[in-house]
Amino acid sequence: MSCLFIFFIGFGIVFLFFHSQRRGLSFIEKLALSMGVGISVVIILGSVVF
Amino acid sequence: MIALFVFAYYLFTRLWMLLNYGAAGMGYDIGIYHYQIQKYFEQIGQSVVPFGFSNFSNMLMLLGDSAEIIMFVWYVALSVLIFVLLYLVVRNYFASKQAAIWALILFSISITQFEFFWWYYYRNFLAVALFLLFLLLYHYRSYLIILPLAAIGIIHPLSLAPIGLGMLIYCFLVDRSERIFILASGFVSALLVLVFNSNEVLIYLQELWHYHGLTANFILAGRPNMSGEFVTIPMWLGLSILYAPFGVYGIWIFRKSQKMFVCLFLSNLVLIFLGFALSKRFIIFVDLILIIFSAPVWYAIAQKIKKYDWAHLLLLLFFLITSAFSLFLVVLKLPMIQPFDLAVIKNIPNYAVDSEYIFTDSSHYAPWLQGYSGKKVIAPGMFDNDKWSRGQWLEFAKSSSAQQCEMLKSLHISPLYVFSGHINHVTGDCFIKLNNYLLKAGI
Repeated sequence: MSCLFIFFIGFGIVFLFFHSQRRGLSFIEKLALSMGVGISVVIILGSVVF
Repeated sequence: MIALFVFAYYLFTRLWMLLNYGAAGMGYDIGIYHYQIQKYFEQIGQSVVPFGFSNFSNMLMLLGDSAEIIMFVWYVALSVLIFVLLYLVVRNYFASKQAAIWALILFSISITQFEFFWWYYYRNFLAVALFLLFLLLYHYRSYLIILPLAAIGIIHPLSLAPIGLGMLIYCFLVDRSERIFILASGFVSALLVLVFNSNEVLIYLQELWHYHGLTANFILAGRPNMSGEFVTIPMWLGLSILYAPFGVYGIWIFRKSQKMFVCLFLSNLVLIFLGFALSKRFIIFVDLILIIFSAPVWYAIAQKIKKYDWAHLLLLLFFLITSAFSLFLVVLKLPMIQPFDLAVIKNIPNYAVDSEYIFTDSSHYAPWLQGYSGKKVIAPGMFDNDKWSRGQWLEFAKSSSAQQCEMLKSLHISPLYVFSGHINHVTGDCFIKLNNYLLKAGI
């Protein structure tokens, strides 16, 4: 559940940034970038919330 | 096909200890993380000083994960993410899928990387994943690099030191537009870290100032944990013989096209040799960069000997033997405590119902007790309930059993339970033996 949440946060951000710049990313790249960015956002959010 | 095989090998080495021994199969930091993650409800509404990791674990708890899922499922998932990110970093920077696969092979059989995983330095492990993400995003010159940099600063501020230093040096080697990109991203990341994790950063800054940032000074003050407590440099050099020389050669070859890596490599190296606080943990970044740079070198070697069947076969045989040897070391590794010891620790609340404290003079068992006993742990120089100075602990260790009883009486905790593991020395007459591990002080 949390994994999906984090993935979609990351995917949203990566999509916004990379799609606007028309960069072709492979499937595995999208997946890894989404998870990584999602985890980064969750950590920053955690420092805001707690 | 090869990548899948390497992935299976990698996953097996990462899961072996966990599947075989459970939580007892990992390094003793697991106890400290278990304790911190469980404190989630206590930490709501208050700052989580000084452990930035809670910003990650608390959010996962908020999203419904259990402590076990955060500790094991997420930890293994992170190791998979590191594996994938490493592949992408090498593939993008060296524009070669084959070099990326060589990097995965070297990474999977690296005992240094396995040890780092096994010791369960969770937040440092997260920092490594975020470091690779930073490298990948930097390749795209995306301002998203702000996110992993800020996250590293929140999770593990000291991991940001070599990255910050390396990027600062790199600024002098690039053109104006790239310099602005680096400085702007760095500035925003630093600002985010200072705003959202100021408490922890200030504590670190005060300590670094007080001890001049040197590991040696921390050790003299009785805080050996600030060395980073990882493999020693000679041991690391021995373990990385398969890729370190090739990595150095790779750095030399690519020194002009991959200046950023060179700066990051040198900044880590300088901090290690200066003995900066937690510098042993920077070994893992150096190790990773050496793996990244040795990959294209190994690939070039494989290409050069391609026409000679015997040499190709020899190379294959060499890597098969090395992988088998690495696997052998992983499979034969013994846990720091046995699963039965951990089961006894988890059972302590059933015995020690009338006291909230547990005493141990063993720093070996202390983290496990902290994480799994449900009691406040009195242990040498560790945690919040440390009652004695370093000198008093040393005096306790040298004292006779009668003197030890007297010293325990001075704690004014009655009844006092003592965890007596295999390497515990407390044997005084004032104790009643509850089982082979647990004593109760009749004071």
